Amino acid sequence: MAGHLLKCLTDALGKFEYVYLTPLLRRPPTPQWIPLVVHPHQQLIEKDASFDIKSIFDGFLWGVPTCRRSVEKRMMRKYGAPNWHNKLILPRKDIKSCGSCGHNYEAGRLCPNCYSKVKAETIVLQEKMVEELGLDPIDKEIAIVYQGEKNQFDDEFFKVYHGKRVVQMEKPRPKWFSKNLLQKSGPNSDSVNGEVTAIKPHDLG
Amino acid sequence: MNQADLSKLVSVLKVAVKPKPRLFSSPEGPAGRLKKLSATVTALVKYERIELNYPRAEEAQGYAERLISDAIRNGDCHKHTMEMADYWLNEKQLVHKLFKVLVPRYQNYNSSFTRLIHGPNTYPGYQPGTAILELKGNPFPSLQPETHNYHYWLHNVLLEEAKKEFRSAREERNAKTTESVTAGI
Repeated sequence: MAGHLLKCLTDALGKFEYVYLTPLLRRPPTPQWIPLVVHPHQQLIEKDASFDIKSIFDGFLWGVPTCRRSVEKRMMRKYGAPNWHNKLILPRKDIKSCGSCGHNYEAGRLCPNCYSKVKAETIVLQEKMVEELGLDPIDKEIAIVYQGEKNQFDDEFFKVYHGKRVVQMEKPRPKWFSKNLLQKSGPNSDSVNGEVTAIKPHDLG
Repeated sequence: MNQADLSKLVSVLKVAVKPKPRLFSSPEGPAGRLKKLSATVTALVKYERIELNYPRAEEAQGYAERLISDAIRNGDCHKHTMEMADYWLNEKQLVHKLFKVLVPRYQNYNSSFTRLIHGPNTYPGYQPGTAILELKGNPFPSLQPETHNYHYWLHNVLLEEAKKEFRSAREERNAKTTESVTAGI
């Protein structure tokens, strides 16, 4: 009875301190600050005769390594494997130099320098071609004629040359775009007797 | 099990088409994928050379090859082929181009009608990279440089023979000097 009363008093004092005095004093209330309260006989932790293992999980218990990681596992995580995910930084041996311009390019891909030239010219040609053909039904192949090239047709309005639709370009032919790339200089499969068509150097373009 | 000869029923393409189609995700689903691919095929027939990403290029190549191949085999009076051309080519002047220009061009071809080339990459960039899809026989400058040295060219043949002659002459001279040395000793 008396012990119970004492306990109530202690609690009340503690609450009073917490609510009114801590805002003023800015110090957390601890049991030490209440000298009236002395529990010589009561102990905070009650010691049991038997120990329950599951009590260890009441607090924080996180995963912990149970076995030492072998060197193989460590090496695999650190460096990877060649047939798996290789974590080593290896030199790139697939970068070659272009034979015509000297710039570097990836093996199996186009040289960026050479391609940019070809792309620029192709875009110009495509624009002109699309503009020329428009939305009318397309029924003929294209023949591209650059500025200054010998025109086989005299009449400007005669737009068909050897059954091809002519696309006139206002610029001179680029040096690297040869005119005659598709004609074979050896015996033609189309020709009957296997006659050889010799291409003179000035016809190569 | 005996497999029937399907080349009589379906076009045999000269291009390796993957067994599973690539999923190009779009809000419209598979129909949206076909819409994107038909835009690519239209552009290919219109411009004859297009630069795009590799996966799309590879898919479109298969469809373009099939379209051209069917046009060659069946012609324009075949109903299904005309319907296909109408579906795949969004601009209708290109339907004329397919049957009047591309079919005569590719009539006697034994190879594929399109060429898919890997374009240059800028590091780091998109891993599959750029590709250039073009119709063969286009009037534009060629992308791949011509390989310049063949062993069967006349000057190369003559040079090889000259090299052989030079080496054999050198060996004879060396043999003579060793003989004279041994004889001298």
